[in-house]
Order: sequence, then structure tokens, then C-alpha cells
Amino acid sequence: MASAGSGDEKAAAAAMITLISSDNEKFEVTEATATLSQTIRHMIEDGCTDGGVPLPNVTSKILARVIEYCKKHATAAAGEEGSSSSFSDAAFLEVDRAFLEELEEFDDAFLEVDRATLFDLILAANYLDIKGLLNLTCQKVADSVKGKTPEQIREMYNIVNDLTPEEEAEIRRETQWAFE
Amino acid sequence: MSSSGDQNRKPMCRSVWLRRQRAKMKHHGSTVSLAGTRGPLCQKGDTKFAGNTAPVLELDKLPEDVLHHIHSLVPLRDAARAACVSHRFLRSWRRFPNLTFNWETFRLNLDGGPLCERAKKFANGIHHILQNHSGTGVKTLDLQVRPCGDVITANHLDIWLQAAVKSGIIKLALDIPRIQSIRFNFSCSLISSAASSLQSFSLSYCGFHPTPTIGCLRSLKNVSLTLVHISEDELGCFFDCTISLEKLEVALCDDITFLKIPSHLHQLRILRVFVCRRLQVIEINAPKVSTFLFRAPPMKISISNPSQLKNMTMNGQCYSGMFQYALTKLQPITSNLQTLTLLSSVEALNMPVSPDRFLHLRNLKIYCCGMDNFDYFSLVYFLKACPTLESFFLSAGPHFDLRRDSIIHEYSHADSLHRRRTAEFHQSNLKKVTITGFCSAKSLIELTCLILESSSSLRFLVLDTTGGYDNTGICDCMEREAVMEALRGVEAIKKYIKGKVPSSVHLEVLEPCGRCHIPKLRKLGPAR
Repeated sequence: MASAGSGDEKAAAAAMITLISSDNEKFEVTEATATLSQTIRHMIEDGCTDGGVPLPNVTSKILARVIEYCKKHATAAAGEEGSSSSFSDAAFLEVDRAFLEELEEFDDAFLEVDRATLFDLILAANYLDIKGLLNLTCQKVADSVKGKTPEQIREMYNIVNDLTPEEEAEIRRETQWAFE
Repeated sequence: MSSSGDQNRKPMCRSVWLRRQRAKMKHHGSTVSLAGTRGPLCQKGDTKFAGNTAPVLELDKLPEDVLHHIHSLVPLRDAARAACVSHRFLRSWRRFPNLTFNWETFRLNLDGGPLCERAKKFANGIHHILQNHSGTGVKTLDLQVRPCGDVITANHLDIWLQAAVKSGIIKLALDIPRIQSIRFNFSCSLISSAASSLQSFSLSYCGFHPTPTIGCLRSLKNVSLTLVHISEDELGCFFDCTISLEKLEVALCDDITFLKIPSHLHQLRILRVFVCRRLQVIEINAPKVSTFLFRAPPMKISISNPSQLKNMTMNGQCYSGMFQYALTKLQPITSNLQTLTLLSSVEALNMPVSPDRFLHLRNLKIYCCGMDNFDYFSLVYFLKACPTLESFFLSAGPHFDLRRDSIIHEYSHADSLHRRRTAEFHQSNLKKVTITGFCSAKSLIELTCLILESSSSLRFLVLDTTGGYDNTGICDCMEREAVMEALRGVEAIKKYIKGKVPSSVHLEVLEPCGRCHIPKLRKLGPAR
């Protein structure tokens, strides 16, 4: 398994894909990196990636960040595959743990962006169908809602209250327990 | 398994650990609240985006499914409050996917009111949420309502389950009041309606009487039945409806005497059987069970294809004879076993003429659960039976009193140890030996010395005289007598073991904690 598997992996790693942002900037990435996006994976499977993959919904600034994320997590995925070999040793788990911690640190640092960028990343992750990135970015927003009143949430995100006073009173009655 | 990875771990004092935890919580708390005020998501300057100069996409303008995804990542309580923000949030709330209800959901564990009042509040809360829920989009329904006693009726449960259990649900868990166990029957039609999507199914304290009409539960991977009234035939019928079961737990199901796991369960990897009082025979025909966790008195267990079984726990705590059973009756199912964990409370080991051999066993863990006069030296039988052992863990405690079989006698000054002899054996793979609850029992010293002499490959010997830093990495609570026995253990190590440790072995002795344990000795009052 070892020789055939690693041969295939090398071939896959060598295959490069060109991604083209909405402002026409080109990014060369490995197939392993690109296929973290289900959208791109399907395009590759359908064989329509020659001449580059245009991504009209993603700016170069955001695409660069998305690729940064995919590169890091693609190596992580490869590492996971490697670890399923005969090593079940504690020493190996130690390496795994260190690697996961590093990945977590990367994710934390990755999320240090302003709100506009965060929302753009969410939209890009949604469009490109990158589950990990979508969860990561959405979780950041979800965390910011924790412990907040509806007024605070509206203020934080400039949301217009389109509920009528009657509607709002009713839903407040219904969710009274959550305010206690 | 895990013990071999702990080589460099330093034990930590409990009080120091608690202080650090508190400091950590404080620190964590402050960062969380900071995120609310100063974090990048809500910088002061952000409000300027609201102006008409730079239109910024706002949370409420994200595509409906993305907004719903974000909303669904918020805990139930916070999500309910967010429902009052706008129409879109309200719509999202009506199909909120993760409905986990427990005491904490409604903050009832903090409330000081009478139990019955709190239970009523709890039931009302669930009732309102489920009545107003659209019924679509539920992925998880977890009703942890056991503390509610008779406030929750079978009728309540029926209404709630009908409201939320639809096709699409992935996880269904019911932990209902014990009082309902005779009154509430989980309806088969309910599980049929979620047959294609349900992946995890957990029932506690109720009746469940499956018939073949359930249909094929094709996604079901995890099943846990605790204190469920189900007959052998009904359980068999339920198994017939599943094809992709990976993990199965059967606990306290007292109507079952013969547990038969059918051969068509090709995916079943983990099986846990926990104290079913009338159970007498277990027959495992599923071909790929790799982990078997068992807690009950020794009984007849057969596995038709034992080659996949790698990991096994035989917990005979509160029962007698599990060690003897493992040495004499397990052979047919342990051909490929790598990790074995044994627990017992009472043992009188008789050396079998030819003990079963565990030819591939690498990790052996033995827990002696409060055995006062146990002859630890008899565990040599296990070492002889496991020629490829790499790590051996023994929990010799807890000790509730001073050992009567102590090697250290107040009035005796003999330092020479008259040891028993045993037929020679040799361990060539054993690298790490850990003994927790190390005491001054003569038989334990004999065992340790024998291991040192017969294991040429040994690198680490950890002798922990306390209750064990094993799992948490902090010192365990110990009674005064246990601390005294631990100190005698330290003395015995100095006197009888240290001199026998070759230079190739790293000896680590863990003594009672000077901060948590030793002060107990100064407490007034006679030793029990």
C-alpha cells in the first residue's frame, strides 16, 4: 500500500489548478489544496478546470486568505491519512496533538480579521463549499451572539427590527425562559 | 495504552491544580467578555459602516441558509433570545435544529426553588418550544428529563416526540424519569418515520417493543439501551432492522438472559454490555467487533470470529473471580487481543495447570478494587501468560486501612526479604510498568522484584504510592490511613526495591503530596 499510495499522492500533489478571482488575479494551487472546496472538486471531476477556474464571487484579497486556509488544512488532512499507518504509539499521538494544537493556533490567528472580511470569508466558504472554513467563520459570529440581548445583537450587526411590537411581545413571552 | 504516553508527565498537586484552574477560568472569562466589547466583530468604529457611505453586508442580509447555519451554532438559550431580533431570526428559530433539553437549558440548576416547581417550569419550557417549532429541520432531540419525576407524563412525552421526530432527524436521545419506565412505551411508528436519517438512538427508562414493521433503519450507527424493557425476541427484531450499526450499548436491560449479536452487523466495532441482571450468555456473531466492554459477573461469552477483537475490558468490580475467569476461560476469544483491562473485587487465584495464553497482548491493565488481603504475587500468572507484553499497569489500591500483610512491621528489623520462588519466565518486550496505590504488602514487593529480574527490556518503572495520578494528572483524595500506608509503601521501596533497579531502568516514585496528603496525618483522633 505504501509505495502505490505515496506514488499517487505525489502525482496528485504535482497537479496544479489555476483559480481566477473576480478582479482577474490568478492563483496557482495544488489539487490537494483546491479540493478542500467541494465546488472545485466537482469541477475537477467533471474535467472543466483547463484554462483556470473563474470565481466571479470572490475577490483576490479574500481568495488569497481562503487559499491560505486550504493550504494549511490540506497538509493537516494529509497528515491524518499518514497517521493511520502502523504507528499507534503514544509518541505518535503526541506528534498528532502538537499538530492539532498548531492547527488550532492557526485558526485562531486566521480569524483575527475585521467584520467585513469575516463576512466575505463566510460568503466565499459558502460559495466554494468548504465545510471547515464555513464552520470556523460561522462559529466566530455565533460566539459573538452568545450572552447578548436582542437589542445588543441588533446594534452589533446593524439589524433593523422588522417585527411589529405585538409580534415581538409574543415571541418574548414565548422565550421568556431564555431571558431569566 | 495511554499510560505509555505519560512518561514525561509530572504529577501535579491538587490544590495547585485547582488554583491554576480558577485562574484559567478567570482569564478565560475575561477574554470572553472582551470579545463582546473589544473584539474585532464589534469594534467601536463599526457603527460608522451603518452610515450610507460604505454599505457593509450585515448579518441579517446573509443568505437565509448561512444565517440559519450561524444561528444553529449558537447554544439553545442564546438562540432563543436571538429569535426576538428580526423576522429572519424568528423564522430560523422555528426550525432550530439542535434541541437538547436539560436542567441547564432553563438554568434550573441554579434556581433554589422546590424540585417540583422547577420540574414544572422545565416541562413547560420544553412544551412551549416544541409546540411552536415548525417540526422541520430538527437534527437532534435530546430530552434529558430524568430529574422531573412524575411531573412529566407519558402524554407529554408522546406530544413532544410527535412534534420533533420527523424524517431528517439524526440524533434521538431520551432519558426519562424512572417512574415512567413502567408506563411509557417508545412508539415503533415514531422510529419508522425517521428510519432513513436516524444515526444515533439512545433510550433510558422506558419500554421498547419493536416489530418487523419498523422497516430498515439504514443509517443507524449508534444504539444505546439503558434500563429498557425489551425482550430477547424484540431485541433480535430490532437488530434485524439495522444494517450499519457501529456501536451498541446494552445496559441494565433485565429482561434479557441471552444476548445474541447477529452476524449481519458487519460494521459493528464497539459493543458494551453493562450489568443486565438476568443475562447469562453472550454470543457475538458480528464479524468485526474490535472493542468489547463488559461489566457484570463472569459468564459464558462466545465470539464466532475473534480475530478482530483487539481491545477488551472485563469489569468485575463488586463481583468475584474475574481474574481467575480471564486466566482460564477467555482463551477462545483472545487470539488477537492487544489490550486487556481487568477489574475485580474478590479473587482467590488458583494457578491453573496450563493457563490460557494471550499471545498478542501488548497492554495489560489490572485493577484490584479494594482487595484487602489479595496476594499480588499471584498476578505473575498473567505475566507468564502474556509473552509479548509491552506495558503493564496495576492499580493495587485503594487502601482503606493499613495492610496487615505489610512487609514493614513495627517491631521487626529484618531487612532481608524471604521471597517465594516461581518457575522461571522471561519478558523480552515489557518496557513500562506502572503500579498505583503502591503499598507495603509483601506480595506486591515480591511481584515488583520479580518483574525487575525477569524483564530485560524494561525502561520505565513508575511506583505511585498515592491513589493514582493516572487519569487527571493531579493527586487523588486520600484518607488518613491511606496516606500512612502510602508512606510505608515509600519506605518499602527504599528498602527492598531501589537497590534492585538496574541502571537501564528509570524508576519514578510518586510520594504522597506534601500539601494535600501529609497534613492529614496531623489530624487528631486515633487511626481507625
